[in-house]
Amino acid sequence: MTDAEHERSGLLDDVSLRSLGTHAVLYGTAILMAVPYLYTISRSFQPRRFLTSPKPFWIPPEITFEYYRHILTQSLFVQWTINTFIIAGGATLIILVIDSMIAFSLTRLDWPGQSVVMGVILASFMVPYYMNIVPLYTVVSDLGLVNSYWGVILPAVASPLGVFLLYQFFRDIPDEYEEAARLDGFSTFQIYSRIVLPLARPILASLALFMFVYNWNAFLWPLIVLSDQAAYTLPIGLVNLYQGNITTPGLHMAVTVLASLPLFIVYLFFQGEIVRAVQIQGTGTTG
Amino acid sequence: MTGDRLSTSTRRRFIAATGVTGSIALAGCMGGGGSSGGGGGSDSYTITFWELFSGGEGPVMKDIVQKFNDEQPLDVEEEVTINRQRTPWAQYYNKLYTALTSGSGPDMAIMHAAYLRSWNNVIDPIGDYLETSDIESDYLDNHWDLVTVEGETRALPMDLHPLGGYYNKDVFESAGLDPESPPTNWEEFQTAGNAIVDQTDNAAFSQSPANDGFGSWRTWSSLVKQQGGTLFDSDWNPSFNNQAGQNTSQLFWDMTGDMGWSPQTTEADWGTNAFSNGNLGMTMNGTWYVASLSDVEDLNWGFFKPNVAPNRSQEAVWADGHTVVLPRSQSRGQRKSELAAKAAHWMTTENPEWGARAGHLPAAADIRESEVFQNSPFYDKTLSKYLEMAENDVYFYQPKVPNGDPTSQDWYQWLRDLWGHNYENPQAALEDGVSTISNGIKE
Amino acid sequence: MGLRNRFTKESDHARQTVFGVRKETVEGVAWSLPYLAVFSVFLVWPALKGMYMSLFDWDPFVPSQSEFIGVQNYVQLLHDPVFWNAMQGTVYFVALSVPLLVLVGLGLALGVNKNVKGKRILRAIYFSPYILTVAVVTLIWSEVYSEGYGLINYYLGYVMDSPPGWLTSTDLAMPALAFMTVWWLVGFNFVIFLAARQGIPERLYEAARLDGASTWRAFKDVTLPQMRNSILFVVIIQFILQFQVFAQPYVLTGGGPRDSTDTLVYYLYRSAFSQQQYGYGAAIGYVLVMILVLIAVINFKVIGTND
Repeated sequence: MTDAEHERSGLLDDVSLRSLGTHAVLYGTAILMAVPYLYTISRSFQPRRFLTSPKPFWIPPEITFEYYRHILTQSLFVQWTINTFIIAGGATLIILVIDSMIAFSLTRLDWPGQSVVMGVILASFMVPYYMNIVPLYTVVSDLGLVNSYWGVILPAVASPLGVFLLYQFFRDIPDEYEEAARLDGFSTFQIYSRIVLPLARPILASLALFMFVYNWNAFLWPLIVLSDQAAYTLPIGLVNLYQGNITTPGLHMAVTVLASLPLFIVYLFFQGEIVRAVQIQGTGTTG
Repeated sequence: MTGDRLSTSTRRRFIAATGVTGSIALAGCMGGGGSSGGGGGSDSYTITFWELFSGGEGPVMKDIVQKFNDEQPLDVEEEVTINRQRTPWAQYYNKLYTALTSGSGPDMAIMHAAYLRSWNNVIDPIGDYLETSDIESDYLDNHWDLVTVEGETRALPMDLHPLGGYYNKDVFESAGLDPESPPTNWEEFQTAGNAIVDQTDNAAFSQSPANDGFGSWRTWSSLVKQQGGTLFDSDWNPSFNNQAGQNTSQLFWDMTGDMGWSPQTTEADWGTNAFSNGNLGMTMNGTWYVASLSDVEDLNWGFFKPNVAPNRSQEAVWADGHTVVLPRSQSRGQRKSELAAKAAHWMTTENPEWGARAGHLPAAADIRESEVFQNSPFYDKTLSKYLEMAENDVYFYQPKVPNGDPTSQDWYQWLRDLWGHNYENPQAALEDGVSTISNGIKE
Repeated sequence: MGLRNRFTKESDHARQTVFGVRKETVEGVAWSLPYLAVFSVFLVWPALKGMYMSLFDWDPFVPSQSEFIGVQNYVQLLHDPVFWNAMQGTVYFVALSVPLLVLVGLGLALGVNKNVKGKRILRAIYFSPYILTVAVVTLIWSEVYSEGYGLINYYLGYVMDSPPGWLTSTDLAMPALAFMTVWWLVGFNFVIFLAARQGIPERLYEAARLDGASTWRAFKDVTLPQMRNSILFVVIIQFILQFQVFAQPYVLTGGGPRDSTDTLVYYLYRSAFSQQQYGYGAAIGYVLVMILVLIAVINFKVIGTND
């Protein structure tokens, strides 16, 4: 074997070894990350005596649907799901409409003061959300919105994120489309609805899904604003089941699975859009 | 005042008009229409009512309110509906106080008697709307005392829920103890605990099944009082860093230390899990525990009076009670307040189920004689013994501190950390407790 | 904006007026108004009001009777041991979680970007915990961490006599919360790094290879500089988010054992919503902002201007 050959095969070995190592690390991490899920799902079906034994069972030796039945019939779970859906869905819808309107106005219309407005919106990114909760609570309370859907939705809608993302995207739409449309006698509304919105559909979808997931999961603010348990969102309801008198681990696990299910289905179908919404934030590109 | 009211109702109408909110969240506010104007010839009233019950108590309260709304038991011309809102205990008092300070509180609310002094600024004395001398005799004396603060009747008493001792008969049996003779004093308690640890694989004792701060306080303060110790001096300075307090802290420390009665853990619900799995011999908890224990299959449990402190100089058992209050409110109006007071009277005197199903000691004098109560599944096992303790006058009430949040977990975290040996020694925990609670009262 | 504006200014549309005001101005304002209204009432106004409240001994019953106390709330904070303990806890949590969140995210992204099989599945799994609500995350991990019947301690039981209480030991509770947080949020950073890495033109690596650069040099000279903006974004956003940690200690540990997992936002929450000290709570909020602005500036200085 010549030196050159030796070197080449060594290199090959090296490459494939390294690739093997990469695979092992990546898949190892993936399995470790999935372990809590699998464990949770499995335990949500196990009768109590298996759950409280110190030895964990990965595959349920015996299956029970008791916890699921209990949660769906004996708790406010269904009500909480509806509340969460209304709040997350309502906030998302309003965000899409009014954020796209102002982004359109800031990029496609020309009016004095618009750069100041954009400056203020950008600066508001520096305001950490939680810092605001105390004064925000007094504002929401003065408006009589405590313990109401609007009390959760409106502060969520004030987030500048959507404006920022849409602003970037709308700004990059070539002027030619708009010029042609104006020449054809399109009104401002028609330009918005027939040209800008259709072009922006992918980013609107990403924004919508991201905002939906984000508001579905919101925790601290709903915790502060909602007091009646019938008005709770899922995250708040879950924690109260946990902190309340229910100490059956099986119920915790089943409610965990049930509460995650809607978003997991969304994730399964729209993974690409959600991921893209995150990537746009982080890389500033819409591609 | 009138201006205020107008703007409030305009605001509500605006909110209602804007949609979704209406469905659940504001149902209470909107029901009853102009009733908040008071005396405007309106004949239907909706009383918003906040409560905090869960576990075995929640469904009972739900039924009571349902019964009220269906049967209209008040002898009045108006139609009165109670709109019940439940907030879990962990957040209840924060939410209630926050709502009351911002003027969006309920018309009527459940409150632990412990709050009746410190929250004086947010409640209306019930005597403002009821002739208290007419109804005083409807309640037992000790319950009436519970709601009387600074010579003023601030609320109507609903129940008393003292601390009790619970033990697992099967564990007693396998430790060679008589399952029908639970401990009645320190010597027997000590013997039982040691036998369980020596003869079985189970833990002997948990200071509180939830393993939380306030739960630990119930047990700890009972043991301190039994040794003749005090909790506060007459100026509301914590005085429990006394001989009895030091002894009890040392005892807690040793139970998870040298005595080996329990693992040294602060894990939440450790005792709840262990007791319902049959891995724990004894624990102490309030009356409400009874309902949840009865739900556990195959658990052979019994009750004992928690008078088991070493060097006991007196019998003393922690107790607090639920009461019904009318929070201070600008929008309730005179007539509605009177109706709410009547509703509170009905709720606290005509509902034996509250004792029978939820396991508490009812405040109303005649309920204890009622069949529903005496036929309660818990009567022989626990209620009758709790009643004996009431007759022997061994209960002391959770101190009604002048300020702060007397049931807040923050105040008692040090006991949990004492139990888990997260301090250098028990004395350090005790001193931390004194400073935490005195800061809490000063705030 | 400049170029286009110059064009639209000359268009027909721009020259129309409504009551003497340029029509486009009227439209521009009208289209902005819905968002600006919500933005002003629920974000800008509270931020200003918070500054104002923090200067008062705020009376929640009758706000108009609040007593002006100047910077007294801030002075009190400086002497408040609970505040400093919460600060210490927060800094500790950030110091544990942020480096892991960034490095693990970056490592996974660079790994997946290589020639591996099943990229889509890997991406789906890595990102998936991010869509869970924190309430679910804490419930799941309470079972994993449990001292008595937890998953970890069962297997540790094989190698040690008494495995520790992950959430009940003063030394381990905060690291346990931080580790759980990395599991929950690392996917966010991962997908950003992945997109940034995929956006680097391959020719840059080819050029580096022709220059005989080692893998390490290619990473240092091409990957890192090209990804700088994304790294900057991720680092800043993670600092901001993790500094505001609340739900993990609130649900799992209640700030214990022995206050070892207390955090600033948790203390803010307690001050305002359980002790009704709104002015004090608002002051904590403002201290938080100052810290975060400072961190952002430092980050920009260190990562942003490397050239």
